[in-house]
Amino acid sequence: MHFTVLPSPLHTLAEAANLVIKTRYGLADGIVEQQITPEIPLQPTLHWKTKTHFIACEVAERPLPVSVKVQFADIVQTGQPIRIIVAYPKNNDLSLTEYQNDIKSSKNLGIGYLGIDEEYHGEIEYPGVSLALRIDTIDTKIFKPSLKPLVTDAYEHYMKDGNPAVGLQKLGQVVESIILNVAKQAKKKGVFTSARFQPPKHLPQSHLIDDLIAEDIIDIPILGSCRTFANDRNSVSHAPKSRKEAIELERKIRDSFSIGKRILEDLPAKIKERGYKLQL
Amino acid sequence: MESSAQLKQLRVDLIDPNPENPRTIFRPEEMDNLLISVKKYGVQVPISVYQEGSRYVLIDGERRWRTSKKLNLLTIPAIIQSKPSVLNNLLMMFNIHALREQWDLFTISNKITRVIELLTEKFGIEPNEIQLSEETGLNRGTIRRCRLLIELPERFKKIILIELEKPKSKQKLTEDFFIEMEAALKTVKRNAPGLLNGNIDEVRDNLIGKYKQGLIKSRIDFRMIGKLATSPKNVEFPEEDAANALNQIFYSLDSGIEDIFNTTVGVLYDEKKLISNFSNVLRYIRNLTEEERSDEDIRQSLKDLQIAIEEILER
Repeated sequence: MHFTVLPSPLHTLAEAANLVIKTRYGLADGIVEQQITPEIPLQPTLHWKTKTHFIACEVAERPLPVSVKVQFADIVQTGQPIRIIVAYPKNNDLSLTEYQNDIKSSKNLGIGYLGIDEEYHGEIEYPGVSLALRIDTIDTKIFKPSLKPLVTDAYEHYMKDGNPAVGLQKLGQVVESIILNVAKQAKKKGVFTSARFQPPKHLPQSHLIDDLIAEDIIDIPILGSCRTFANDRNSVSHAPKSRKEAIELERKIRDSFSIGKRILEDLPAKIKERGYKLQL
Repeated sequence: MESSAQLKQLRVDLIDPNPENPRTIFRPEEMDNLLISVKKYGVQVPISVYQEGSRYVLIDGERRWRTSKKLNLLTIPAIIQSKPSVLNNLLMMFNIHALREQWDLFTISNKITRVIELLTEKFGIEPNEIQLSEETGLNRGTIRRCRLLIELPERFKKIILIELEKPKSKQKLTEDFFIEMEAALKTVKRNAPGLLNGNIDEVRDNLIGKYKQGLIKSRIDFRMIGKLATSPKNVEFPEEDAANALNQIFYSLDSGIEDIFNTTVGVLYDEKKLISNFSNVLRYIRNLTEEERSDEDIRQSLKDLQIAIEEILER
């Protein structure tokens, strides 16, 4: 590999990073110091183009280098399905605080990192997320106490573990559980009379919501949001076939997570105003 | 050199770095600052290039070019100059930087040997320090310091290179450390040649070890080695004692420079300095003009001096 921009002490580290990433994702050698697309404002040390995604590897002295930090917002703005992984030397000159700050910020931004040891062995410590999927840190103060750990868990899966689909699924399960329990309470009170709702027999979420709307059990607009959320969640379960599809799919996952979060902010009050309890 | 230069916006991907660029070290912190500036304000100062076929080669501005490439900028302002000869190419780069910012000495040292070779080829005789200074725009002191680094064995050069890649605040075994150490060892070689016979690398290793341990507190301490080596000549310190003191500095692993200097020739050098200062005062006094001699303030100072001197001499 021939590098012209990367400082020479990092060349061997870049070769090691290339090996780790190509092995992990089953790719050929990375493209060295070239533009990914004209609109992405970063020429990373290495990058790969798959059928659906871009993977960029920036090799630097620290987990969150200035080049990535200052360009991050502009890269996100492009909406491209790009995952950035920073390869850094485990033996570096950072203080513990500097290192921990980098790691924390990287996870919040969804930037992956890959530590390489002195023998040039490396492992991806955090894979990051495709930046089109990235969401901001959630302020859990706005949620009811019983929801806080569940929302945090969903966020952690989405951003901190780099698995947005699982994070969205977790959030969806919370919404489903609340709706199901409202339906059960309403049925017990005798105000919800849907014949097809026979717990514990499973009724698809969208059907249940339709029936709750039909019988005006709780606030109809929020139930409408729950139905959209359930439908969108189902539509993101298939794998994209092209980069265009990946962009659309990732936008949907990100937007669905935001909708789910907003539902969990508002739903408890709407349940309470009709005399039901928030049960999970 | 021709002056038919023209300013253009060039595509960043059409530019290649110059293999002759003496600058080889690009510290991340400096690159980061430039990256932030270019991101905010763009490239404000054009780079210089020459055309090579359908592409361009950098003469000046590698950091700006690297930054523009990193930010995936499409174009960069560039002054296109005519293609220089190999020697002119190098000299141009030296002169640009001599006028603007100081490169790391080590990077200059690496290329100055090449400049000497090319100048020797051109003029048929090796350039002296003055000629080299005129051609490169570097002052003679810098050239002398570079020479100390050029002559270092490769493994010590590697140490410098590793250090130079670090942020300045974290560098310990700096170029200056090696320059001070080499200047001291050169003085020892000149004045007590037998002391370093065949052992100079061992001495270097020992001194580096002592510096890392804190036994040598400052790189300035190396100047005391030079003073010890010249002490038989300058302060009439016995040659054998000076050699013993230097051997202790070079080979005993538990003593620094300052302690040994202070317990051997320190007093003699202090005395020499005092005598030199008194001689200067005496010369000033003898050279006072009539007008100064009648000045009240000066007369009062002289009286104070007289009292202090008499107090000492009457003891």
